[in-house]
Amino acid sequence: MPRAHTRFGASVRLLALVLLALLASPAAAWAHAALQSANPAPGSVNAAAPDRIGLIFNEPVQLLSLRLIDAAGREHSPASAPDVRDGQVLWPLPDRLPDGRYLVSWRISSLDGHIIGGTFTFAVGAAVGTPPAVTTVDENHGPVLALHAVARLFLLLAVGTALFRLLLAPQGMAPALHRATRWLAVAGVATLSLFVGAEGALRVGLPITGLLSGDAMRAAFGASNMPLRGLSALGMILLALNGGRLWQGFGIACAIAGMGDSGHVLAVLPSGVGQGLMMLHGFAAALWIGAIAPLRSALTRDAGTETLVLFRRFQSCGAWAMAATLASGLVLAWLLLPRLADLWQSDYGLRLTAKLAAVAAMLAIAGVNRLWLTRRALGSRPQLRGVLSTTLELDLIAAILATVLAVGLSIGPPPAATLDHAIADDAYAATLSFSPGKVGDNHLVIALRAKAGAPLDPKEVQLRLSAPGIETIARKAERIATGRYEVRDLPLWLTGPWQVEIGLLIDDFTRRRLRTELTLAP
Amino acid sequence: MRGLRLLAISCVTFAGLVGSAAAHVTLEQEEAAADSTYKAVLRVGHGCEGAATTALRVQIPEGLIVAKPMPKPGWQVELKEGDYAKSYDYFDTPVSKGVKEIAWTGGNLPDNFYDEFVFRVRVTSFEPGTRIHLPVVQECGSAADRWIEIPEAGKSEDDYEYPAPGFTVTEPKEH
Repeated sequence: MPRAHTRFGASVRLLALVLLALLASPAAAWAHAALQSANPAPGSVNAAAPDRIGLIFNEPVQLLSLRLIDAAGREHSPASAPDVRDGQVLWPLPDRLPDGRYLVSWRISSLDGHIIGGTFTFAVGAAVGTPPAVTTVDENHGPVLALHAVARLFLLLAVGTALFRLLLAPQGMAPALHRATRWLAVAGVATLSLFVGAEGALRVGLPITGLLSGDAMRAAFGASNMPLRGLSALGMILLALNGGRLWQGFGIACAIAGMGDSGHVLAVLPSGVGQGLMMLHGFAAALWIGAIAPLRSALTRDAGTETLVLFRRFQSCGAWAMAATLASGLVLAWLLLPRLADLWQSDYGLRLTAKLAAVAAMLAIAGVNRLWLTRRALGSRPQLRGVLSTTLELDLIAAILATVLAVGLSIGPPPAATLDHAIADDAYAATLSFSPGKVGDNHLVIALRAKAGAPLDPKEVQLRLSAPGIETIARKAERIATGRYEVRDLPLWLTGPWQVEIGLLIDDFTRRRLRTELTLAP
Repeated sequence: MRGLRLLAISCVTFAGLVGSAAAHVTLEQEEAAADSTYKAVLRVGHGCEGAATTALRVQIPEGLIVAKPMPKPGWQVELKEGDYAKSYDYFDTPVSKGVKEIAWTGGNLPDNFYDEFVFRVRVTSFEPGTRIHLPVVQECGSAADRWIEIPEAGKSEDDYEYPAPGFTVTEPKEH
């Protein structure tokens, strides 16, 4: 007993000494641990897989947790415990990490008992850095866009006229149709060449007048869609020459390949499928659009039974063309627009809505003609022929408008699918849009709305995210427009639930916090 | 063995008690009587994640009037004045404007040194028990730590990473 007593007395003295030392050395007690460096470095891309994770703090720390997970949320933490020596944490990785991106989440206690944590990412393998941003060729240049629209219009009309001649083979109209096809095809090849050159000039940063320069041509011919455009030009040349039916069919097939040269859908569907869908859409649209002018000229030439038969025959195959155009168009819209509301809420959706309005006008005209006007104008009531001719003219204008608006869709990309969260307090309302809103790297756009009196652009917008087992990911949001901020490449590799906090620095001394919870779909 | 365990527990408890408060910019005196003059001593025990402190700015909240900083060798002291939300009685003189912010700038306090920033302020007639927070911005060159978090209802300063230093108002002294 006396020995125990003595030991207890010694302990008390030691305790007193420790307390005294703690009190007497405020510098030590006030110190604040911070991560000074990490290996692999946060955000780094490493050619070789690291054999350990190293963290260096500015003072001795006690490690509370350390986790290593990959982009699929799988645990890669080795079984062995990390080696902690003063402010250094070393964690050997016995198994070679497969190529990919990794997230390190750490939590420590400093000398003073203050607990801090953080999360950073690194990548292994040269090819798996941050995914390259989708390169959008800036087609937003008016003249280039106009050339594209005119080239596309000539292509559709040339193919459509040739199809009309091939499928309906109207008596006595063949020479006129061939002449029309030839001019449309020649104009199509000419405008396509100008467009390709202009786009090449744009790619190498030349003004549009540089479209015939060697650099522009090289850039144009180097583009991945050049083979399709070349094929399209070849097809139009075949259409311009007056070959047999087989050659005409071959020319049509080649020419319509040019429809697959562009479109946002190419980024969504596997290679080949997107092009095929665009070609189908273009083929059906050409059959529909290309028939309007020939029908009108048939009406002016001769309004007898022959023309009535022609109209009847067109109406049966035209119905299929319309159905195929609409069906393929709806599939394209469904693939590109994540939500119905995007039709009126996004720029892309509004352009698409305008195009759909033109198509709806065409459909309305086709419906009136088919159900009511054609039969009467070509039969019992010849005085209606003028009206029929006018409706066909309007139909053609709507078709041209729809084609131009379709090319206009290339101005900007369709909206990305997002997961939206709204949060508000008494001064601010914020909408957080995570895209794609699924487990993985996410791009966050924060849209702020200030209620009465509050400034719309705070001095700083901070984002803090954490999930069970994942320490805070803190990022500063970048301002992209008034009241709009973004955070790129957020490694949200787990479903969560994620605690999300937006910190708005109103002035030097005031920070408002808006919080929400988020669970991501796998 | 029991003694050792006791020692360990005591140390951990002690570290826990002082720990969360000690890691921040804090006030030396955690209490001040209503209707009295308070000497605020801001204690800065570290820089911003290792970087030396070059400026310290404190906001004087509503209800603290006639603030006066103590000059500090090696630092320029700047005052920002403004209107109070209402007029206060200061020894029978109405006071409706005064210092709203004090800034100590142009100094250099390395991370491994400790220093204090002092000012005096009149605490007006607050309800005893009121907790008053003094938001502080600690600048270290281009970086800054903002000790500006004021606890929401039901939370304490310990729940925050960057709490604003604060003190509690006590009963006014007898005159």
